[in-house]
Amino acid sequence: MEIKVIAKWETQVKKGILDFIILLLLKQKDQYGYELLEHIKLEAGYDIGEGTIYPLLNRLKDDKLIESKWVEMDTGMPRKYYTITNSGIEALDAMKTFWALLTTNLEKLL
Amino acid sequence: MDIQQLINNPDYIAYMERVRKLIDKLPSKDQQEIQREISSHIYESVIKYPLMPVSEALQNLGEPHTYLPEWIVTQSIETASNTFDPIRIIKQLLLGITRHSAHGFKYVLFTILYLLTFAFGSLCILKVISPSHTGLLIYPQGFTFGYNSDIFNAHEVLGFWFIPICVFITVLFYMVITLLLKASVRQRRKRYLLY
Repeated sequence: MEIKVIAKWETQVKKGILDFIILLLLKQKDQYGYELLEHIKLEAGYDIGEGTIYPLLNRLKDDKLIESKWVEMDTGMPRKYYTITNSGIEALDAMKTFWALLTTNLEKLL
Repeated sequence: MDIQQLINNPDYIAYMERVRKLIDKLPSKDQQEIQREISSHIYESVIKYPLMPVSEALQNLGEPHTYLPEWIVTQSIETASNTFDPIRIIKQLLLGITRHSAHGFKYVLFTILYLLTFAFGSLCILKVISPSHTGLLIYPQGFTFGYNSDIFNAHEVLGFWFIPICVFITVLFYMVITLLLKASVRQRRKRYLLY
């Protein structure tokens, strides 16, 4: 029972900050979906269902925080690259400020 | 693996067919965009791990029905509600009812609210066809706003002012329901993410 509760809590926390992680990764460089997914897994330690990233990217795009463009490759299929927008950078800065405050306050409790 | 090998792979063909069936009601431009992005994802996956069979790459991506319906339905309902076009909204709600059973009840509810609003709006036409039976009918024991076949002892007080009042109320209901739908879909999209 306790394991279930913790697993649920972990999922909720992860869900809540995935937007933040995507924006952080896209601020480093433009990335296509699969590449972004690999970075989320490797750098953030998230094991998410691969297909689920696309609805999320789509929402961030609707919110004008990111934009996308198709890039033809010399070999292979074209890739859809995602780029953080100026609004996305502003949102990310606000998220960073909130995150810093949150972690500082939580540190006091731990 | 090259592109030709991938697009001729039976697992890939079957998977893309399942994708196509899920998105066949979307505008062709959106269908192409989704299919292109999924194909690109599968291709990158098999290129990155050449020893991984296509079936495993598809399994990692997940069955289309686990991630596509909500994405498509919520996106199309949100787009339709942004236009305030009643035909588009009803069409997308019906698509939501048939394609997305998890939130089918919500879409049924909104469809009923829209149908009631349109039914209310149709009273304007009824006023022209049957003016004495339609309007604000005052009876000794109460009143009727709308249509009543029994007009014995009734006194209609609004006359043809009933039409603009009815139009105003219909538009007001329509706007409120559409704004509620927009808010509901947006809220749902924010919560959506499968693990």
